Amino acid sequence: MAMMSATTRWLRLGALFAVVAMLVTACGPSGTSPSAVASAPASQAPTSEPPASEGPTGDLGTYKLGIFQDVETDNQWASADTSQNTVWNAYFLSPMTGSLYGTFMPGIEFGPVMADGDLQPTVAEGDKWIGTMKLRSGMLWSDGEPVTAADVAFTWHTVVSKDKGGVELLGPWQDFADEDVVDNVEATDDLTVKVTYNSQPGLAVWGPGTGVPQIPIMPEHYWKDIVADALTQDDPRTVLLAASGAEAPSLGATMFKDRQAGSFAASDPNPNYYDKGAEITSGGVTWTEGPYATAFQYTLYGGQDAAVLALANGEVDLLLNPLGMQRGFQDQVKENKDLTAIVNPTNGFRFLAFNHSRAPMSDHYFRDALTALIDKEFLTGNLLQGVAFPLYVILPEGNVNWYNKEVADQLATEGYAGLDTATRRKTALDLLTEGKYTWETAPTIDADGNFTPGSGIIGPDGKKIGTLRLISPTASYDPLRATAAAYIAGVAQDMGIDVVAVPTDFGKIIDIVFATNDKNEYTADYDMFILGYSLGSAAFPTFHCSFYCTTGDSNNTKYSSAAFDAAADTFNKAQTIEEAYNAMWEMEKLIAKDKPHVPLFDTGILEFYSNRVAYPFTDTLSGLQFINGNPSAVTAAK
Amino acid sequence: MLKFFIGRLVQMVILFVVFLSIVWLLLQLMPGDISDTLIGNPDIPMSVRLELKARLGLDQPLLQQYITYITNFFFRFDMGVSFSRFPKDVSAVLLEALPRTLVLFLSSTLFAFWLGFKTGKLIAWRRGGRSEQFLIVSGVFLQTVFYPWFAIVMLWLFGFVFGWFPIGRFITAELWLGAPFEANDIFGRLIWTVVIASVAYGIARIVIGRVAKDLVTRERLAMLLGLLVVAAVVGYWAVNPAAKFAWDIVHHTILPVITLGLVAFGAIMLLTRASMLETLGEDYILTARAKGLPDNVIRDRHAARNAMLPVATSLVLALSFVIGGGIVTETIFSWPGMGLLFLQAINVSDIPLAVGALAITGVLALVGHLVADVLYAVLDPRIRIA
Repeated sequence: MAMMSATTRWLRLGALFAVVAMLVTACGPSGTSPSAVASAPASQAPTSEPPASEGPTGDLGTYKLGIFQDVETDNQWASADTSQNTVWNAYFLSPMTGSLYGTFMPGIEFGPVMADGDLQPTVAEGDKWIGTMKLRSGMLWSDGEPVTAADVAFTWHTVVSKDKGGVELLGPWQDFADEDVVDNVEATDDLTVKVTYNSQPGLAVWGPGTGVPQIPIMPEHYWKDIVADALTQDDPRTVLLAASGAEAPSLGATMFKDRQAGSFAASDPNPNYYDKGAEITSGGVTWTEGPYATAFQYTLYGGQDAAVLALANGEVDLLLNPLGMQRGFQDQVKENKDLTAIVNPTNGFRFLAFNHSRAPMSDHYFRDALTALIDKEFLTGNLLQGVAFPLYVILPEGNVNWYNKEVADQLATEGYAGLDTATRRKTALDLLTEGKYTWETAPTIDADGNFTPGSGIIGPDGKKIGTLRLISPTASYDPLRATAAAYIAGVAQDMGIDVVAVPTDFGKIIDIVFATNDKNEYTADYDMFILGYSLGSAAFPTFHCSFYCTTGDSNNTKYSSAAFDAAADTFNKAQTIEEAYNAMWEMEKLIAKDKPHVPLFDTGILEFYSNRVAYPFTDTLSGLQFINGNPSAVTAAK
Repeated sequence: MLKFFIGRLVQMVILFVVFLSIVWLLLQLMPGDISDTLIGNPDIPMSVRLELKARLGLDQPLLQQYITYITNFFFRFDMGVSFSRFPKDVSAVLLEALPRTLVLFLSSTLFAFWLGFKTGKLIAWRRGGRSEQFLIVSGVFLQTVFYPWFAIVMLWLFGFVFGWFPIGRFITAELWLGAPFEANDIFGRLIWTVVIASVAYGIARIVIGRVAKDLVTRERLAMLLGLLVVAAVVGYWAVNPAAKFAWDIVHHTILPVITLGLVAFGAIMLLTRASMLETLGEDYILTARAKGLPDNVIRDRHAARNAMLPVATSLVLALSFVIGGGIVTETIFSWPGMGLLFLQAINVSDIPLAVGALAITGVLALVGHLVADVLYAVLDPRIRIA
């Protein structure tokens, strides 16, 4: 028996040794030279290999970015349509595109990107208005073909509706190609684009707003046949979106190289990048465009734990996430001398919304009183432990080109900033009393300033106001908004207003507050809610009208103000930035006065990057992720 | 036997229809739909949301949507189009992710079963030793440990501190850049290699069992055969041009498999030990001892085989938890499988994709139950399938 056991043990040892030996063999080079096979290109490469650029501080090598959801498409049409219009696709694909005009960060200035000169005003021609744009000469696609005005016209004609002979794409494409506004886009010569408008376009359409001047240009010579084929099918949009764009030539700093589903996407520097070597100044920062990296790699991570470990391990240079990184990692990163943590303001805000179609929220005394009770400094500094900062206007301070500190400060003062608790209570009590509210038990403030809570508030109509529900996301979804809701309910209860915070599943909140009837009008079946918005274009803030115009697409509070609508109309039709700027601040003043939303706070976006890389700037609205990690200008650090 | 299988098959189909209907309805009850993802963008008008809803059929009455889905599923074998990966078919998306999850969970489950059963059997046999105490404490720790924490610690320790394994992910981007292979193709080939090798080994084991009557000879031959199969598999890949790519995938698989396997190992070891202890008290074990049979024969053939019944059941039924367990494991290890896919689908209300992922779980659970029934009969001759 002992003999048998020994034999078995030796056999097992032998087996183990054999397996290890064979695994080692498997890992080693084989006779057929797998490395040679591996170096074969998977996608069509440009005819000439781009030279490895060297930045001001040396060779960067591969610029490695960590992402948290997969790049799902290589098709630029799909990435700006609806379903595939994700930031993850945009991080990878946006640096490959270009447009005639665009926004420069960090200064948020609108200007010519691929155009020759500034955008000139449109001119009347009969009952139409004509805008003309000229492409810079000598620009090439990554495959060496010239970039022409016909490419711009082709893009617009592909996006438009079937009635106009297009594929009828959805999503952001419709902003660029709004057929109600734009009559036609045509190439009058190789470099000139003529845009015909049905009426005189304002800057919102012909300018820094979203319109034809900023439409991503697609290569006609690559897509022409695919689009023509799609148009012969029953559902051309689906056919076009399903097509591969892996071999489509690029305009921007990068061009497609490879994509392994569920793992990574990779791009190469585009040797024909239209701004290669150009000196650019924005927001007072000047830099020379690269790209300096020899390759770009976007690696997928399932969660932030692994991603931060990979960053610390030197496997990635920057983590891209539209929501930023979790605060819990900040100390860990700060302790690591190889990493840097940055915080930037975001292009968004979190707010308290009132239902303007339901009493008492429809009464400005009530809204004012509740606003006066909310101590945003206490909320953000104490309850939220400093991770958020208070807001008093909708436009974020980080939007340096549009922010007006003087007016914002004035609106903050009018919005009860900096008051102590006693003054807040007194102000609220005065407002409610002036608005003819009474109480079953009125709250009182004695001569020494001692406050006694009230209960059972009664409306100006003499009827007792019942329980008001304040819907907010749950603490597991967003502890900040859940805490804010509990705080607001508390201060309202002290004043005798029966506000109850109702933490609700995020999807359910969306269902409730954005519910529509058969006529596609918002039903507004709620009292108050707390949500957050991101704000779209920073170069020309068109979001005000969407949120607050009487017919605004996102106006679910039923706020309606002729003065606001007029200001919005002025903004949309503005022919100069000053005109638009004044109209926008007029809108801000009306929002601060009428309070469809009460801006509460925002948190800023936290990002981490490796000190191996250097950026021309890191103070920028919504952080480095907003500019896709700045692949065209990132360099190796000293 | 045939009657049994036909009966079970009919049962399975009915159960599956009911399961799919409940899953579909439950997911429909979730608030919101894919068009809600556009709400956050003030530049996208409501008309676009409505247009998107119409194009995806989300404006149809719920009953109509249900009938369309079920009809397409069962009569056209069409799971629909993924809303979030439009216009990709759900089946194509699932087909990419399913093998990754199955390999991860099957490997870890088999690893855990093999190690847990062997260890549990031995500590029950040699009861009272220090090794038993140590293993019981370890088993209880592994069974009760907070899994996400444990997985992150494993990743930190073996990926970051020691650097033995990659920090998550499925493949190394640097290696695969411009590779002439798709990762999924190589992964598929790896799976097929293992499947073919396992089938060949299984058949050979049956032949050996018939030819060699002596237990010792049989064990030696089986060992030799195992070596040959492993050598053949490794040899095949060693001379393959895709060798380093295959090894890269295997290298990325090891840590999540070990982590997942260790947690399952604790439970299986403790279950085997308890089951063995119960079996060792049976009269037939006493009879076997009285007959003078060698210890290893009593342990392996008389006790362990009976003790295996509840363990085998738990092993097979573990298949039903592939997606649930996958969400945590795949998130932490950045493993692009069904769990991660399901989570992403739920986050953006991609109902067809979420239902598709759960349908796969349903099929696995049903097949798992069938296999458990058959296994019972194979392991215990007293049970007959009828």
